[in-house]
Amino acid sequence: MNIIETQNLTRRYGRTEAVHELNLAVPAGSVCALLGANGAGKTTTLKVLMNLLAPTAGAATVLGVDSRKLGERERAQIGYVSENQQMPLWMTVRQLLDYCRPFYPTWDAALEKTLLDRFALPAERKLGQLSRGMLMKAALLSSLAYRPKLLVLDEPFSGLDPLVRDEFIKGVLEVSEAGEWTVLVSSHDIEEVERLADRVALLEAGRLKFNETTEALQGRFRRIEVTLGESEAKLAAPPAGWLEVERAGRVVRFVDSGYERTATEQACRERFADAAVTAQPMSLRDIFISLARAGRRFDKLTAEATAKETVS
Amino acid sequence: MALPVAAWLVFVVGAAAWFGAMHMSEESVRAQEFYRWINGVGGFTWWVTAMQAVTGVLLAAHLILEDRVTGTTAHWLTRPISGGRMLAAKVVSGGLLFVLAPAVLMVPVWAAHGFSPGEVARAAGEFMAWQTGLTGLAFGFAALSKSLAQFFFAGLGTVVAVPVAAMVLQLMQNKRLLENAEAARTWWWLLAVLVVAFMIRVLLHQYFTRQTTRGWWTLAAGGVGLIALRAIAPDAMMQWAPPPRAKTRVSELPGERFAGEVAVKKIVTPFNRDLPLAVFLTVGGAATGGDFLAPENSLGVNVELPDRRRAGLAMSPGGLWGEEAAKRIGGLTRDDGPVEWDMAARLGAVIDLPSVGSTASVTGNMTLARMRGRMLAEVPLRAGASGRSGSSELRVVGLGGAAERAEISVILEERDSLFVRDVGLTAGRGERAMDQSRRDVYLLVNRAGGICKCLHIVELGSANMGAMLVSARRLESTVPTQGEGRGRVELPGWREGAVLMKVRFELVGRVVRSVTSANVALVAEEEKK
Repeated sequence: MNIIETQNLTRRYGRTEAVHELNLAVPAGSVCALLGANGAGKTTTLKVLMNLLAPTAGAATVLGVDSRKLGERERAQIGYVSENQQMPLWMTVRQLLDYCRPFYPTWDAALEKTLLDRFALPAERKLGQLSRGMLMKAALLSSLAYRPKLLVLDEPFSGLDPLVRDEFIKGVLEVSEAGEWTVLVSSHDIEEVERLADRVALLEAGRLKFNETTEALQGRFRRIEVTLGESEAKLAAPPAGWLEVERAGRVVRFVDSGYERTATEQACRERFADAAVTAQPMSLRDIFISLARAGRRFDKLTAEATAKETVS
Repeated sequence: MALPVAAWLVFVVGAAAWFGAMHMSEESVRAQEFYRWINGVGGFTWWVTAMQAVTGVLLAAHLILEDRVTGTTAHWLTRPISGGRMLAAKVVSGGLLFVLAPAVLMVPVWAAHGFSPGEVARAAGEFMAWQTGLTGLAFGFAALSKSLAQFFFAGLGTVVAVPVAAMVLQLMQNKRLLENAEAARTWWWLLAVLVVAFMIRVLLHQYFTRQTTRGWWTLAAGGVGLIALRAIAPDAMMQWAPPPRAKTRVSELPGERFAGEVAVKKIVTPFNRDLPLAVFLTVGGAATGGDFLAPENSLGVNVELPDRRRAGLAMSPGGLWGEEAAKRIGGLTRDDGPVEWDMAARLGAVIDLPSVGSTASVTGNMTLARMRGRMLAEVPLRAGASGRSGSSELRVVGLGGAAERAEISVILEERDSLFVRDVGLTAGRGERAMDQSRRDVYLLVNRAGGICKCLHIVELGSANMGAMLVSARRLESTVPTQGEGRGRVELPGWREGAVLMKVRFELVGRVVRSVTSANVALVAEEEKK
């Protein structure tokens, strides 16, 4: 069962298309990272899912309900933390919790206390007097204490120091261990997401590039290094799945986005007859960077081709 | 926000309390400083009231903007709080903070200044209605705004632009603003109802759909609609008047007693084109009928000129107003026989003035306002004397007058609740005078001497704040005399036992009767001299 589903979801700001025909599914119980460079459409997607923005076209369902019809009952099961959220800064941490508590029938006072201690939040201090990290932790606490079925985090790590990030992630993981819930986290901070997510979706210019488990993603990406022998290398037409192909002396390096040991070695032998091939696993960060570079190169080539067509 | 609201409340109450407690000094009158004094106080209280309104509006807007309805970053939008619930919370808190709290806090201030329970209730009602209007406007604009700055400029722009545009359109149509009193009254009622309705519509729409752009368009459409309505709607369409406040039905008013008893005394043709045409007439046979008093003014009378053209005319009583009725109220006379009223009016310079010797008649509708009088205060005619009835307080600040011209003048400081602000001093002229629901008359009375003189009122200035109105007035009259013609001399000893009486007449109802006079020869202005 999918907690979140979108069907051809599109959102435009005037003539700018922030999200283009997005078909995203987030299964229940998964921790899904929505990755993408700045301006890729991550925040817009989350805002449409939370009914903060209306979709221009297409539709989205959240907890089985059309996102445009999210009511009090559904929102009581959703936690939302965003870097841009305007918190009631005049409230103290305690007042924020007192304010939120009555809205949630599932509020867990024991968990509230545990998280308050873990995050070392000063309960009597006003939110406006907290550091950014503290404020994010207060927001997270007020969104975790009722054990939501769905937790949506929009760029939660930006501007946080490593210690706070660690506490933040531990807080999320601690609650996730305690029950069945789903997390959708958007970020361009891949290293942190890597610790959390078991599923990754990549957005590029509003389009979904892929949406798969972290395991499957890391399984199909490898950094390949080929040490050439005496024979010549045939690099004229590399396979479409090879990214960032480069040669330095007798060494050819590339990223294989569809790694499968025998198939990759076979493809290498066809191009580099007597070469030695080594394959290194990649982190999410490396995969993301490779894809981002490949995307930019593709965009640049497309732009140049369009320019040439226009001139001719 | 608690501190600014508390400070605002203290300011509202404190300023009103201070204003209520201050008094005009006798020295200032002697020094002929009263104009400056009352205008200074009036200007100051105007600014204080304006600042209270502006800060109150900004605070009300802040209450909405604390949980913004626009944009996508407000905290409450992602919580299980529906738009309806948030709107209800805002309305309740706005009502408590900006409507109920200041009114409740003002009650002791009003009570301390002599307001009766009924007057307190009425003052509170008016004050709360005013605050509700301001808060509603602030809520409507704030619900569509991203920030306090946007609220301020958009709200200010709209509040200024709509009346200005309406005025410009009317000027372009050569239509006088609020030309007709009844149309004006209808217009202001309509405006209040439409503004409230629009604001409710905007608030509901915004909180339930959060379609901000559409909300602004709705507001803009409302503004354009109001401008168009004011600009194109004929006054005749708006001549709807609310029923008189008193319980007397119009059908019970013996207005027919006046019909046919209008006699035109003379119509004066000016010798100079720059002078207006003047008409003098007498309305006779008006039985006062106990406390009733008639007529107030006449309205809409036409003078039919020789070439059958008509010129509109609004009449005012020629003599001192209300003296006969006031004598009965003051117990100086028991005569309740018919009363004759002299009335006069001057037309503006009429094109193609009729020549002397030709005739003209008066025709048209005459509106008669019937008013019931009651005595509010009776104070000795000396500086420092004061009297009070409920919120109405009268204090003689000083006495004066030009002895060589046998004149007396009395400087008064008066206090009333703001809801009687339409009590006229000179009662306005013509049509505007008809619009009044109350009118004060001041009498110089010496019972032993059988003297009762109606005093002419000169407005020196007024200032109001927190439902309290302070006015400075000068009452003028000639001294009581005896003898005839050139042999008239000041009545000796009239000052001893003389009192100043304040009588308030309140509207009972109005009747409209057709008037047609016989043709009257036009008299030249020189002849009049």
